[in-house]
Amino acid sequence: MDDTVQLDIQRFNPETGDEPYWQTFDVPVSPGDPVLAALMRVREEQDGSLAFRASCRSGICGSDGMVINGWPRLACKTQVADARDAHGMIRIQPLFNLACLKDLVVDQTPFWDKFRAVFPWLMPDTYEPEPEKERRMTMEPDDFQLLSKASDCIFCQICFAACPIVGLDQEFLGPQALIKAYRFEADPRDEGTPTRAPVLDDPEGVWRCRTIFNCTEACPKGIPITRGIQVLKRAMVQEELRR
Amino acid sequence: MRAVESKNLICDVVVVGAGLSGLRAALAVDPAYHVIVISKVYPVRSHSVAAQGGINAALDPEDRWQDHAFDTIKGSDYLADQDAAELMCEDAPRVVYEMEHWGTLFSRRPDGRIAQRSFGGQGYPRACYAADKTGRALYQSLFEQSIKHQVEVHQELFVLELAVEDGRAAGVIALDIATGNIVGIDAGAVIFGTGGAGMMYARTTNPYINTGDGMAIALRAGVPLKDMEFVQFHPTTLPGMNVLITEGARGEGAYLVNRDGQRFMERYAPKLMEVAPRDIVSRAIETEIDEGRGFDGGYVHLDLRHLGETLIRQRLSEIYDFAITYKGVNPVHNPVPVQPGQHYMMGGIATDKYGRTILPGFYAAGECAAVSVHGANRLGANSLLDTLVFGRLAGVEASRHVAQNGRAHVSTRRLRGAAETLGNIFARTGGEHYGTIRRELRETMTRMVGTFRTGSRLEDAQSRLKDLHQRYDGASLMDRGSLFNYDLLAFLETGFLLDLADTVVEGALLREESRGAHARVDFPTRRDAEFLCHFLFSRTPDGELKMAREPVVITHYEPKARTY
Repeated sequence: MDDTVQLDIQRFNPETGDEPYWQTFDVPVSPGDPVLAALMRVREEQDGSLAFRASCRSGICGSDGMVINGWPRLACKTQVADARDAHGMIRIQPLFNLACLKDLVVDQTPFWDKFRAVFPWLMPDTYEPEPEKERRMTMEPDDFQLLSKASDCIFCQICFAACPIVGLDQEFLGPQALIKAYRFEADPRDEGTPTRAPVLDDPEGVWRCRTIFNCTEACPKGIPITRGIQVLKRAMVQEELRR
Repeated sequence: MRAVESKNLICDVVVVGAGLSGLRAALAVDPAYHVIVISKVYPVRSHSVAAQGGINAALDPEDRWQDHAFDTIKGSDYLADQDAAELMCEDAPRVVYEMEHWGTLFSRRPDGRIAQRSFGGQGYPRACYAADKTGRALYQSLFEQSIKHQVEVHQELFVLELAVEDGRAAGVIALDIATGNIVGIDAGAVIFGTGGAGMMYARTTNPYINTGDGMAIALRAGVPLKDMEFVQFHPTTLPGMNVLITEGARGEGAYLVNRDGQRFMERYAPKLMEVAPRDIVSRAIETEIDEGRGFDGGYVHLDLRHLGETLIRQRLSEIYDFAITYKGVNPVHNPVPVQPGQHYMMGGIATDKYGRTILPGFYAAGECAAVSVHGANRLGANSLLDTLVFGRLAGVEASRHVAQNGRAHVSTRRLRGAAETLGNIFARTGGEHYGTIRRELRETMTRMVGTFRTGSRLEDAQSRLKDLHQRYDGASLMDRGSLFNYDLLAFLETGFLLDLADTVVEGALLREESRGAHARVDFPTRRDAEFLCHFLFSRTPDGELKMAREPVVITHYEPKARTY
């Protein structure tokens, strides 16, 4: 440890008080430490009551989404060196658009409800035989890369927290549910469009997206979410024309 | 002190853990029965999603599952039970096709068939993959199926105890993380898919949540653990956070290079070079570093540059991102620093090849279990396969048990006992915090129970563990709140890790030979006459560890010298 960073953390514990408050911790850090390492050090060494979710430490499990310096990010993919301001301070809050339960822990229920609403599973042709043999799948390499990228979602809720429309309209499906729907709609093995269209082709579905691109900018996996939603809009028009 | 929730959950089968094995087990339970899955995190946070490189299956017409079985058994240094390895490898193509039909986006060959790459210790390129995010791709499909089939998942329930009533598993007792309440879950059968215990090491690729809860709880409930001394160290992790760099990188052709610019694997595994099994590559890297041919800071280089930008960014996209994010190194232009780190527990809850344990109604699958298909060293891309093959079988077997024996009930006495135990922990004051104890445990294991082991250092580790146990018994909490008390969880997890570390060190001391991942400098050869057997650890009523031996099942493959 050759350095110290100041974490300014928004605390909240409904057991002991009604209002959120700010608390500052001075934390020793090593070069290359992500913000998550500093938070863990607070919990292990200074204040065991600091609540946040974390698991894989490498941006794969999606547990540690939080607002760092006003913008939603993964704490494990945000370097202390990049996040600290001129005074050596980093401000940390719970994710926007989800209710805070304690400190940096939010209630994820609305997020998962919306995800479940888009029939998020592969719906192959029902005449498809049982999986005894290999099914071939051919796509143009560029199309496959787009599909593969869309499937990278780690459910971290960062796009959900970054979207201003989600903040204004609680009925909006939101970017994560839509990119998930896109992942299946773009899959040549999927036949689920007629099932998903009533949910997607709705004022609270694809049409509520105002192409603000916050989701795309915030996504820690670099998924072009806004682009996927635009493709879905086009697909919905085609589906309407077909019907 | 802690509230016992009046309303207990009741089901036919309770699955603990919502990773690949847990969810696969849940989906395999007879639909006539009510399954509840509980997990201490949200399902998609399970460590299965972090698996990178692939899942082995002899799909190609030129390949045979028998060859896959042989490679697995040779890779295990002949400690795998051969009937179990054969079962797994024969089932592998079915598993891959099933996952593909459920939606897994495997990388493809130009003709649309599932692509396969070389992997450590495999005589044929048989690792099916989805770029370098195979675990996530498989997990998402399985998770999606669990939603489609409306599997009931209760997240953020932390298991405290396996309830044994009248000689059978009767359910579990858990802590509701959100409220701090104790919940009893009555069930006819219990399946553990609780994952590994890498957090007992300082240098590990494992997440914070891999604290061996299931293994330790099973041990405390009287179920033996098998082969705990076999701990896998992955050769290539980024120094610092020890983020995993997939073996798939070497499978695609990356080189390991020392400070002198030498591809040193030619001295350790002249035929397979960089794609030798993990135990051999890890020891090679440690040896290079120990003998002064590593870089300052204790690492060697993984050179991917000759693979070209397109391949790196498409098939190794995650590790491309990791190297840049955590080391500021772009693998297209510069070699990546790597060092070995703890990665996988070959040992675990002793099961047979159907996931059964000695306790009726209690099953285990995945990393928390030792079937054993991995023996003394697991081959890369065999663990994803393990979770899906044996997860399914555990679900099937649990259904059969429920059909014959019906439901059981967690006694009120036991629930009160669990509440009292927690109450006592909350009541302690002025003791040491788990933080220092866990840090010392992790440092001790990495320094003394790592890639190379000696009797004297293991004895040293053992006495340190004894000291840590004593300190832990007097340790106290910083947080005495009810809601999301992560201080309490980490405290309990530290207790689990300490119990498991005992078995790892004890096994490593008793096994006076070198086999697979267990390398004793003072006993450098494999000694089949004495040690071609599993070690089973259980606890006597007064808490002492006792060891029993179990023969290895040999079917077609006579133990031979292991060279690559």
